[in-house]
Amino acid sequence: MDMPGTIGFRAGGNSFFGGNITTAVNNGSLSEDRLDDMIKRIMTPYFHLKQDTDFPSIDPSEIPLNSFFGAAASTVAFPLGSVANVDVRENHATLIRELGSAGTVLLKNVNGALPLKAPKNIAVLGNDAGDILNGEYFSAAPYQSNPFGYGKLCLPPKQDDR
Amino acid sequence: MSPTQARRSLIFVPEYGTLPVGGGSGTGILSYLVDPLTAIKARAAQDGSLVQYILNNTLLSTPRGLASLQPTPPDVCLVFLKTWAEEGEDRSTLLADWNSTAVVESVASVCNNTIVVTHSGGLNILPWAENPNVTAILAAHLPGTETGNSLVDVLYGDVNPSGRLPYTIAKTQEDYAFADITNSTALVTTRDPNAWQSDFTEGLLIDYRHFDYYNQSVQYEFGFGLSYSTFDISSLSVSKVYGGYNISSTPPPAKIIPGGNPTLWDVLYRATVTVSNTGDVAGATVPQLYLSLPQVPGEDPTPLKVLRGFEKVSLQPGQNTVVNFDLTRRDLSYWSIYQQEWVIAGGEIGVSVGLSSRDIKATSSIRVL
Repeated sequence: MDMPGTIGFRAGGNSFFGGNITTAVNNGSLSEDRLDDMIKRIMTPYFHLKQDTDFPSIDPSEIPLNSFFGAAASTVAFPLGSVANVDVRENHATLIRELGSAGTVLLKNVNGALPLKAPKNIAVLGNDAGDILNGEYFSAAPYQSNPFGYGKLCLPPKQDDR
Repeated sequence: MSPTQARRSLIFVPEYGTLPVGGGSGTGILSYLVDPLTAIKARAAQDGSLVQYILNNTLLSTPRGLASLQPTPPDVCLVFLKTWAEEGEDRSTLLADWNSTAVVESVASVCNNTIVVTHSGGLNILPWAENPNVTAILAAHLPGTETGNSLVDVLYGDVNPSGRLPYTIAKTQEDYAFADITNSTALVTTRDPNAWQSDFTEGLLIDYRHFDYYNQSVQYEFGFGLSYSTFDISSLSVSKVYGGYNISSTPPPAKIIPGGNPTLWDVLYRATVTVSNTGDVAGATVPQLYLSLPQVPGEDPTPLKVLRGFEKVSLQPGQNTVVNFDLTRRDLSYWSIYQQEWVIAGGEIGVSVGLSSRDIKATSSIRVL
């Protein structure tokens, strides 16, 4: 298992591991014990989650959504299922609603502001309040054209420039 | 157009729309979205309430930008701010995006019951936090596909908030300068092989450990979060539970397994407290245990307090419960860069349990060696 992928990252190509591991074991610079240890660590969650038995096949809609590497960049022929948009959500809606509230931190509450007591005139303000415009995938295709901008957290602060 | 705005246009970070998830590798595709405005409209309809809305931050921060709100002032003004964050696209400010400070100040100037909600993957400084017309602040983080419903549940009291800050909200952005983040705009084209060096000069004094060590005031401390109820902590006792012989300074030799020396996870002491709901509504709170390890000559400064346990407990009004914190050898140790080993220092170890890092309700101490 390679992170973040091959040496060329986006370009594909050689791996730090893969064939290099085979070479290292054959020339004795890497023990088989160490290799077994590496494999155990990688495969433990696979078996823990019972992915070896009756695990759903990969949803074919995954491939076009891979906006980062692009569908064509996949060098592995993943075993795709025949049905797209498999509904695996179960009780997700209930759970994420609960977790969303649980992750909310109340920092200030004066004058009995909250909880609300059936206010009759409510204003909702700001560009973060409404529905989204650009689709439900927050890593859409334009992401690929994003020039990397490293370490832009500037200290001391600049003015709020947005 | 500022460089930030230009970059954001380029990558299509949309100005309009709520932020339910992070960007880049922090994202996922949603199968539907319940945005805050939609959820508030649905809930307000139960009370037959008027819901007025302006989603344009440029208008909101313009003089008379709120003039269309009639009748005015509304009973409550809910202001929503967001902060985009993604891999490979570091934030350039700790303020929320899209002229957020001007938006809040503009709303608060006409509405004396302004409630601010932030959607952000990390911390924001909140320069308007002390504004008397800002009556409530909710850091909602990134709630996911049911974001609107999650928020309405809290706003209307169907859910009693129990989240706690996993970071410090300081007073100003300059307060974080100790973290020595490399300003690397120039590094993109550097040919200096040492240019990317970061020496982590803050040592162990990160986040609340820094602010505590230098006794610095903050806006909202690590571990802080309010509830619609009130809670108390009492009856702290700490006892040795390790049944072996004298506890050694370093862990007994053992076969190393994934995770290290397994004796690091031996429970040596147990702290016990009673947590009670002293208010009138049911809710959950988070008792937090902090240890004060001894300063060790020659080592980096030891933080005054380090979090070593927390538990979320749900309690009815008037109810109390006992909460235990197991203290492992590792909890009681520091990493000695000289011995390259986890070491329990000689001397007194302080034990504090509170409702935040700065709201300590009970203290005790132990001598392990």
